[in-house]
Amino acid sequence: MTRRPLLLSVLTALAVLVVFNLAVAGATRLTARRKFLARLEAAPPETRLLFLGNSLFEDGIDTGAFVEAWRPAERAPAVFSAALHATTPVEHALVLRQALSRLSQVRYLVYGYSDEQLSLQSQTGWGDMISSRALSYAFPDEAAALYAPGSLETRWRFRALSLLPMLAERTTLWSKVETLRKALGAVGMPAQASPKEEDLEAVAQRLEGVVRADRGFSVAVKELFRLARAQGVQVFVVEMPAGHPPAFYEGPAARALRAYNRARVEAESGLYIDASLWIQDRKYFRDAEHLSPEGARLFSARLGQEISRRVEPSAE
Amino acid sequence: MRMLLRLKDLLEYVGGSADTPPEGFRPLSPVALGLYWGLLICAILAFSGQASKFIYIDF
Repeated sequence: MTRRPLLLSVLTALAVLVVFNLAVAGATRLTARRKFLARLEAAPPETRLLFLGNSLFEDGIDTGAFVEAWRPAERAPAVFSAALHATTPVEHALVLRQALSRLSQVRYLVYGYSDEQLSLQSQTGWGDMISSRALSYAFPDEAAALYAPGSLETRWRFRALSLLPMLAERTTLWSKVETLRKALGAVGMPAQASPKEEDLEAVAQRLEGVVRADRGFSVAVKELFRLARAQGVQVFVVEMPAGHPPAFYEGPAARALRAYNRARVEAESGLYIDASLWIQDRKYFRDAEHLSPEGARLFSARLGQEISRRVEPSAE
Repeated sequence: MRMLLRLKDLLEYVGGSADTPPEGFRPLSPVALGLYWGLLICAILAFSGQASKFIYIDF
């Protein structure tokens, strides 16, 4: 092939990529995370209590039940749930920064977590930055600083990806195929499967590893506390029920990590709430990890009682 | 069998491992070749990096 036809082919291929990018940008205007960012933008300015976390909290919080359980009822705060599925503390810190920049009345942050989430430094591989985690591309510099502090390579990679919808939003393209895959994968499976025994052993080993390594909280979790402190927001860290059996939560690995996390939360002037055993009956879970709407109602009511008891001690 | 061989020759040509198309086919124009490679890149980008991950439905 001579130079001229080759150039023509390359230009045509580039034109296809440009059209593809525009098509992806148009098709992903209504993704869950775009809707989430729009919802966050429209959060009531009188919000005083903010929920933050991943799917465990997104599914586990019933704001109506939480507010109803608050005592005294007349002092129940305006609440807003900024929890989003498939996110890590990095996205939570980005969301908190956005929320606090426009919600000046927020006084309480309720942050739900499970397992080793508070200490885990999240990965930024090609297969990791998908689904809701693509939210990071909306804030490339801030996200890169939390994922890999000081890394120019991560910063420029995030910047480049944020400009290319076909890369940043590729999960959306795959979602329809994924729907079919999940439906087929669920055929013949029990509706409320419990985690396998060997999975729990692996989780326990990971938890023990966090305590042994003693690296403290991840950069993103430290940023959460810094942002909250800067605006005088009281942080409640809630250890969520994540579907493990009670024996696991009472086992040595979970207890050791709980004590480790509690000490660090309190060192950051936060309050720690161990809610891991609040919901034990599997009928209140919609799958292996996530609470059902009924489970969320029960959980949120108890959380509302617990937090109002700590915030409004005079009400007792 | 002959059809399969022609298909193989055709795929080898569009895949770039053969310089000339099989008998009866005209060589692809530079624009058609560009379209083909552009669409191929799009397909690869759309499906890469997601084979072994649990991902949430997000649309």
